[in-house]
Amino acid sequence: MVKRSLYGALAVFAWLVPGASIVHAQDDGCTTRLLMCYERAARIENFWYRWAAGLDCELDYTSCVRQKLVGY
Amino acid sequence: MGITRRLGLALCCGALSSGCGAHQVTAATLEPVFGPVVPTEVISGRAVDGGPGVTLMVGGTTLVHVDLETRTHRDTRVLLPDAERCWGLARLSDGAVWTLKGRDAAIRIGEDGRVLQTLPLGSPHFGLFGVADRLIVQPAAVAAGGAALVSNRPGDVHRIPWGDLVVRSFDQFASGAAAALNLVSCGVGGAGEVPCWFPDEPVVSLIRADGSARRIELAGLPRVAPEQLINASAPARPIRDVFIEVDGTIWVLSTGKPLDAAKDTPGGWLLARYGRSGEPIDRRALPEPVRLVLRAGGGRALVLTGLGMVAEVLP
Repeated sequence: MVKRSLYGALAVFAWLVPGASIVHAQDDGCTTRLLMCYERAARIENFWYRWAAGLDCELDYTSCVRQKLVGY
Repeated sequence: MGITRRLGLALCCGALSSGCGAHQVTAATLEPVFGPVVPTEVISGRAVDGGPGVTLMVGGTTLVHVDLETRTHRDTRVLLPDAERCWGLARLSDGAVWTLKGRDAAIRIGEDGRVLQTLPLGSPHFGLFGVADRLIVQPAAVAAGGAALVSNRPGDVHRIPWGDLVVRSFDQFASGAAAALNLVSCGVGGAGEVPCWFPDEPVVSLIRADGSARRIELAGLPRVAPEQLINASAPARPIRDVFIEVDGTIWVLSTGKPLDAAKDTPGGWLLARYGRSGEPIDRRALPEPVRLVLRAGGGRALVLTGLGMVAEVLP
């Protein structure tokens, strides 16, 4: 039940927070990958590992977006 | 034109400290010199050797060393044992070349691409640069108000804030997007100051080796809304690259207005120059996209085009 609640919360979070949720018409794949990552993280049983996996999702998202923001 | 109108125009141009010409965008002349030297993969780092050599980190796996005098280039694959990619590049005063491996380690790379030294960083980092004998890195987890860049000598445990770039708060964004908007880029400094900037602002921070800094607002370049930067697949960036000449002249590559025919080719379309204190000199529209300024001086610049050629911008 805790896992489903967190999964639901992550899904709601993903839709509520603009930077993470918008699959924009010009999406470069980074946001889609973030949502998929959240989905995988939500399936992890252990709370702390689940939380850490969510943080890794955010780091991967920043690394992805980094190419278009500061890459040459 | 009568003498009165000429005098009026001259007075007008004199009154504007930047000069009337600096407000107009003229057309740049770009002539190919040699290449192509790189593919269209992302270039994540660039280091100069003080001479004719420029080294680029391409695709996260390959160092491309370009010699601007002999007009040659050579590729060296970074020999990493796993699937990790590299980001950023620094050449320190002792000639050592460093890059970020993944997010958690800085590695020193030999001439043959072998990893000579690995420095665990203890936490995730997003950027790596170099000045004198110091590595400059950008930690991933810095609260708003904290220094965006820190520096240390390789192997030194103690790190100090470097420069005046401070992490900004973007409350309306998730933490990953906010971190992305605080990513720092740094260009080439030829007058004892390294130019660094955030992706959304036409403002450059000129940082000396000791970390002291001054900020310059670059007139004539746009500010971009953060959501546009995050959501667009090819965002318009106010500053894509900065190169400072030995005399302090600042060359700035900006996204500008891409031509439809080449809008998918990486690079910027506007090349602007500023004086040492930020006074505008000129702005020129490029005939094709340019990714980097490789060298500049005397009104000329060697640039890397979107198609990977080394080309010269003529005065």
